[in-house]
Amino acid sequence: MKSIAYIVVYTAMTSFSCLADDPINKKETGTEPIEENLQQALKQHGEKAQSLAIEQDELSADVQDLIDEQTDAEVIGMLREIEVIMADATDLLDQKNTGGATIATETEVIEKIFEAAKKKQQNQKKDGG
Amino acid sequence: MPAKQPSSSHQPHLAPIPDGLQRQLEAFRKKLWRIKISEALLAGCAGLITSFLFVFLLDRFFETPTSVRLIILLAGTSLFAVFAPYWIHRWVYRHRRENQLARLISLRFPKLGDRLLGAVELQDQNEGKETLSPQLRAAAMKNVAAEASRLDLTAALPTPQHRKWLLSVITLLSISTILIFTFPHAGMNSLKRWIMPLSSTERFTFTRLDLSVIGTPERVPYGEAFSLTIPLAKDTARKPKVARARYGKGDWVEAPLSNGSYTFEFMGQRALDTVLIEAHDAHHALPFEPVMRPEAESIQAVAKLPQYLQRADKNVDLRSGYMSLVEGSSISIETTTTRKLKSAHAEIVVLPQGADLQSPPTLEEGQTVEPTQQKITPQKIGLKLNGKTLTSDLIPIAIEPMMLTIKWQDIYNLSSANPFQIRIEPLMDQAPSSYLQGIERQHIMLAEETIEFDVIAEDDYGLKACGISWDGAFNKAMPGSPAKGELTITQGSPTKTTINTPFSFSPANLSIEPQKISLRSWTEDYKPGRGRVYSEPVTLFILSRLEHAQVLKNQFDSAIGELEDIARQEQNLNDENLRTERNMGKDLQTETSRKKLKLQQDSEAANKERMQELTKRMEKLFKDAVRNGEIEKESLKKISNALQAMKELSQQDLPQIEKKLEHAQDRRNTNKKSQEDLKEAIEKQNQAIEKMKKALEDAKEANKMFEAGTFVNRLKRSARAQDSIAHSIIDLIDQIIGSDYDELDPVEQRAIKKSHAKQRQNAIDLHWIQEDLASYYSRTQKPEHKELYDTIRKSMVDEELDELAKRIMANFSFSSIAQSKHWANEIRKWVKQLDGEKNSGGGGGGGGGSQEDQDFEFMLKVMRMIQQEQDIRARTRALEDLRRSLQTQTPETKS
Repeated sequence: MKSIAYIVVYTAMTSFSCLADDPINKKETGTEPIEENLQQALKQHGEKAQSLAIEQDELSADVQDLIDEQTDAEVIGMLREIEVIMADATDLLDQKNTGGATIATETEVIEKIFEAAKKKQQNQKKDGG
Repeated sequence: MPAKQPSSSHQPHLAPIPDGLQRQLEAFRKKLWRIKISEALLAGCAGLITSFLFVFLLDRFFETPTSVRLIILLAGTSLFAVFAPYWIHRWVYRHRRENQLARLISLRFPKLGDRLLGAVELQDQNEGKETLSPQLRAAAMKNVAAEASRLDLTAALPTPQHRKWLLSVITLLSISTILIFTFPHAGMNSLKRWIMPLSSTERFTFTRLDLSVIGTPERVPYGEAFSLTIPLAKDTARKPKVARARYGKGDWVEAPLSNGSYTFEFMGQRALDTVLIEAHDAHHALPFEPVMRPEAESIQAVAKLPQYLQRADKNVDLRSGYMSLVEGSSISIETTTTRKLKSAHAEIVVLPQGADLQSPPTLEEGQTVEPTQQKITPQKIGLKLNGKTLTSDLIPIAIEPMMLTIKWQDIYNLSSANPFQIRIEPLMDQAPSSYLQGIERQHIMLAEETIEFDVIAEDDYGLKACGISWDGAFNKAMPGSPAKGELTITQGSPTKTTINTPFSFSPANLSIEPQKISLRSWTEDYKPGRGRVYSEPVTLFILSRLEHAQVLKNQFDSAIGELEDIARQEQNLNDENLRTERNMGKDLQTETSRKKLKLQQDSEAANKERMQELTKRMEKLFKDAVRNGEIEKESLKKISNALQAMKELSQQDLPQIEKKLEHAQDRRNTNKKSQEDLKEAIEKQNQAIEKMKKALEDAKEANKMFEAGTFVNRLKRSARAQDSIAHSIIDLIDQIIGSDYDELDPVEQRAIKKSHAKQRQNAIDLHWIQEDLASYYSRTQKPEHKELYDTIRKSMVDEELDELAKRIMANFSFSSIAQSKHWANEIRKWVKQLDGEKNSGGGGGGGGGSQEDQDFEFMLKVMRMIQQEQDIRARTRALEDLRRSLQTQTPETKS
């Protein structure tokens, strides 16, 4: 039973070792503490999530730039809304949450950007007409 | 009144008869008694002997039933038991007195008898003196005695039969004695059966059959012809050449004596009945019952799979007579029959490899196996019997097919119609297979992109785990080592034979830098020593933004070529339509004209489809270009314009032309209407060609800006890299100036190493920019690219930057900063050289409204934003996949 546990843990370790781009053939020595390796793998997952949080935050900054360029109040309102939702997504990623809630928030961001783009087009047509 | 009879002959009489007469009567009585007693005894003996002989005689012909024998015995003994007493009573008891004797004598001598009776009665006459004269009485008695003495009274005896009886007894006894001595077994047997009729003494026959093997009743197969073999007993006195038998009231079946036994062949029977067997004096009636043969009610194998598979034993139904099982397994066959079994036999034959499945060799008794290349030796299999159930020992499954034959015999000695045969086919534990689904064999992507696919693994018994692995290779010289890693996606189980799991692969999440990745899925089963089985590789070209831009550029080139071709084709179609109008315009309703117009319409439809296809490609290209981020806004705008025109052409213009050409051939049209339709088609075609030209112009313009922009961006990036190197050394200058690398603090050593790597990377990038410029020039022959290429070559930037990298590593910090800045400025000059060309090269796109530009820029930013958010979402999902795969493994670890 103990040996099975070792095998499973080894697999788990090798699974997450890829996050650090470790060589494929790195063998488990059996002397390293199992819990420590698991913690390390989870830590790396957290780091990657936080790096995504930074990217999300940068994108949020791009939205702010876009707001500055806009004159249409409706579109500005929508972009502000997007900024808020992006901030939520950033917070979730920063908390190393990569689950359904975060993905849903990110999906909401995408939908809202679409809506803003549509609104902009509609308003342009109104102005043009 | 009759005289009172004396109660006994021995009572004293008042006047006894004279002695002579007395003696004479006494002698008569004795003789009478002797004769009659003899007759009674002899008759009794004769009866007994006769009854014995009767039994003897009857037994010779058939089995004398117990009841008959009892009656015979009773009849025989009854002469003794009934007749003899009666006879004695009649002749002895009732002839014991003188008067009784006198009466008997009177039957022969009536006169004497009467007088003798008178004399006997006078003996006890008691009368008065005046009525009785004793003298007279005496005289009368004397007179009677005198008369009797003159006669032989024995003549008055009844006809004596005792001699005859004696003779009969002697004769019967002699016969019996002779028979017993001549046929001692038969005699003694009959004697025994006669004396003890109720005993179960078997009838002796001269022909003795051995019926010990025949059951009571004997069971024979229902409705099937059967043979009955009855051997002669060892102690048989006679051996008849032929015996006969019959089933119930059926015909007699004769069987000759052969090898000491008779074999009778009977037709199929369905009813319980008696079989009569006759062989000389041996007559037997045996009950026979037709019953169904014992067949297998259920037959199954308990299969123990090899231990490494970690699977539970499984029951396999074997009624089909075939089973296949993985080699290394062992099976125990369990059969339940319809009747209790007496014996069973199983043997196994290892068949040669590839033996015909349809005609397995049967090994029935007496049958010889066809000679084959390999010797087939049956091997006995141990069986355990328990009533109706038989269980075999464990049979190991080797690598060759086997044929197991089981035969059984029930408690009635009936066997199954055919021996049960099971072909056991060993199976190899096949290697698992794995593949990636939902992804093309080659895929180009940015490192930030995420690709989704299904990882599929299959095995015949059980999958241990499956995952993916990747092995990278740099397309060009790069510092560091290519990516290599693996990931366990799902843990299997001994019973899981298929795994199909979606997976999101994000190079950025896995820290994979731009390079060529060979991505495979892998799986492994439980077979020891087999190891992993990998899928066919999928090649992922993970590109940097610049490389991606280059790829897009190539795709754009191809799209422009296709657009040119479509435009050319449209022009040709237009020419042909003009010719048709000119040559056939007066009569477009002829069959020839219609055919021609139909041909033109079909060609127009084909061109429209090509345009639709190209528009789709262009749309994807535009999206990718937006995603890339390195492509400048102006280029994207031109692409967007071209795309818009192409959309209009494919959705409106070309379909309208096709429609007009179709109308022109309409039979209901007048010639004039057809002419008008054709004219309209040509006009619209002209407009479409113009639009195509404009789109082509935009596309070419975009392409020009694209390619120039690509080199400009790459050079700008290179200049920035040089600046960055310079600044990183400046930041460290106080700590590192004047020291050897080895003397530096590890932190600073690491910083220098990083700058060195960056410098080497930039040198490599610049080398590739030169290569690309040379190739680009050889294809486009544009002098400005040749000029720039020559300038860069002359600068010997490759060697210089290599030298600079060495200096950085050697910690020549001051000169490194100066050189870095120098090369940053130099590269910017090259940018200006090409950027000037790029800015001057266009000219076609001028005059666009500023509002339009703003709107386009907004849409562009929004598109990029959406793509970036989609990338973030895909990477979040990929991270979640990784986390879950870790979580699924964690509980097992703890357990």
